[in-house]
Amino acid sequence: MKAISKRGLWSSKKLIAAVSLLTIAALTVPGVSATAAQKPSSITVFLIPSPTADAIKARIPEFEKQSGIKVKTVDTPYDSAHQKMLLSFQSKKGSYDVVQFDNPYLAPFASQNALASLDSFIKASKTYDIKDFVKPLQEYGKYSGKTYGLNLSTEPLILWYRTDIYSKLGLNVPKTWAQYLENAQKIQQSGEADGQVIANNSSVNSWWWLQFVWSFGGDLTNASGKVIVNNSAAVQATNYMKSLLAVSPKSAITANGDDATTLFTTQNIGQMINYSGYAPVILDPKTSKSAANIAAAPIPVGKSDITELTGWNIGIPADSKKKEAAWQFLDWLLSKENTPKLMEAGAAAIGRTSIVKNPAILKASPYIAVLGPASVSGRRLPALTTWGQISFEIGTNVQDILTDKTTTKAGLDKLAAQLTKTMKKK
Amino acid sequence: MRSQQKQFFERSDGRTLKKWQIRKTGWVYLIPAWLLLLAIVLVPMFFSFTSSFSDANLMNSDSQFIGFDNYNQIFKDSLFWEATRTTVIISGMSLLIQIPLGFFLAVLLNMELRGTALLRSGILMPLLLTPVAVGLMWRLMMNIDNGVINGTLHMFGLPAIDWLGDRNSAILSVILVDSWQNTAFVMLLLLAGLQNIPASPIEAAKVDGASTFQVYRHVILPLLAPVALVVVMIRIIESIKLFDFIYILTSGGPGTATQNISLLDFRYGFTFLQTAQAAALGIIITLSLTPMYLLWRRANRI
Repeated sequence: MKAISKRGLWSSKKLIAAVSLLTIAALTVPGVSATAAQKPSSITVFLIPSPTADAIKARIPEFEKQSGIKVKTVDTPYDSAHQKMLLSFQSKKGSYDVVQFDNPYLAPFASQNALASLDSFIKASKTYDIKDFVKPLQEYGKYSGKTYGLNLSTEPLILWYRTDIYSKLGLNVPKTWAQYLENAQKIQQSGEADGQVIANNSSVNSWWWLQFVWSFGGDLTNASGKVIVNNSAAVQATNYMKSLLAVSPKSAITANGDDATTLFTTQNIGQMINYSGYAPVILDPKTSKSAANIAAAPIPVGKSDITELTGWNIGIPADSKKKEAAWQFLDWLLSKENTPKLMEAGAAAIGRTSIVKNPAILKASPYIAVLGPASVSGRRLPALTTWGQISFEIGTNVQDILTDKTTTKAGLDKLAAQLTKTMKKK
Repeated sequence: MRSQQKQFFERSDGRTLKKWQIRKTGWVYLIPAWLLLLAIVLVPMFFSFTSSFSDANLMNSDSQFIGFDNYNQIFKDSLFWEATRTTVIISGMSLLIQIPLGFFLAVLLNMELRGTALLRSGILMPLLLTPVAVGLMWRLMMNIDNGVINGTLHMFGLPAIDWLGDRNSAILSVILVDSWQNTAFVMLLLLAGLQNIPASPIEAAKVDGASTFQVYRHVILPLLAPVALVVVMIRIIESIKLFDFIYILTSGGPGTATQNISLLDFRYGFTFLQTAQAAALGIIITLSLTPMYLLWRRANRI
């Protein structure tokens, strides 16, 4: 038997230690372990019908070819999608490996530990590059300090305006909300068009109302958690929203985001505050009669320059049994390199810095330039587990004020009482 | 009669069956139906009932028994009383429109005038549409800016009506759309009832010199009453359950002006994610419909 020299023995120990360390690392670093050990043959992706979902489907064959993993998709309409996901998470059967969801559902999902934390995956990835997002977008999929959702789209509120009407009436792009109202009044008085449009339908107006409240220096709660939706900032914001109704098409009171877009693209309306995600409809000559005369700009500012951020998230359910394969798919789909390809396939824009500053992309879609500044000052809707009820209570009370069922102060006092009760719920 | 009974008890091989054997065979045949009923109605109802006494919601899989708390909360919720009021208004007003109009149309079709077949098809058409399509269609038609209804009013120099944006008009719009779709159902049942009335009492009344109005008032309407009662019960139950087209047409707005009890139940479950509270409201709705069901059963026996 060949004697092992001291140096040789030491080397063997080093070798064993190195192998052990590598094994431990391989087992603990996500994205490396199971993919190499046991590659799943398929994953199931839960999608919500949207242009982005269609684009994901269009990209799947390429992923399947490269990875050898089959991707099955399940489509569920928005109205029941999140409830279906919640029921699936409760059953803990691992029905889905990847889920597309709207940001307001991040809190209900994450608070019940239904989503897997993606931080270790993101950290280990060489292709995702989280630093390509500005801080508000890095935080967009976080709940209690952990990342549960990647940015699948970036859709801030932006100003859409008609360049032909602006130029005919000698208007400038408004920088403040006072200027925005002034422009709307001038357009209305000219008889050329309606002044502006936003969504006032009770099912969604909370989103626009909160933007105005933030702009006027208010919020849902103060630092100590007290509901302040009836303070002077909220009263001013609500009165401002009411003053916009006078320079809007009559049906604006019942309009949701889709209706407001349809009104803007089919009728003569000078300006609109709506989400950037409507760009494909607004800028397509097939669906928008004034597409050639529409431009975008950041929303006006008030006491604060906060811009409301919305957009899809995509994540991995905690009960998925194929998390590594799921991450492999997400990492590939949304990598810095592949994001432009997803957008080319028809997905809504994703606010990566490399996208919003990419000359070729900006040449093809100039509105994307607005996503940069909008994201920097961006704030998402409150990450509250009771957001659904809060949004409903804001929506119905604000609409009561807008339709003169009650005064602004009385309506907001009622809202404050309701929200105080709702926010105490688990 | 005796021989018929004997045939019934006799099998094809000539052996006779005892009563308990027949009963047993009957139960065996019913097993698949009972299993189906158990799986899709009774078990979910049982879970819904037990869930209504818990704090279960879509964010919490470990629920606790909380007694009647969900019921207490619902009865303290102003939304519940508003929705109940809206439901009563929609049901009452819909009946006031649908029953007389349905009866008038049934009488018209029963006369079998020229063009009756075409008229019947036209009247029945809305009944064939899905409520979601109806909601979408009327939402476009009732749009104040570019809807066809206000366009028509404008042609005649009449002012535009804010069908969906004004609180009172919105509830009227819901009633009108419900009546547009469901009057045909009322007509259909009343027409069947009219066609089943024997000719002899009507002819006797005419021979006795009764006017057409008197024939309807004293002969036809009393004979049609059991069918009418069934129609009223069904329509009340249906109007309380009304959900889909209100959701599309007004989303319960403006504010909560058109939010009925079924829409509120949806909100509890799917907007507020409070499934136990939604289950409790579901139980309340079911219990409130029970008298209607019993009356309907009774009317069926008449």
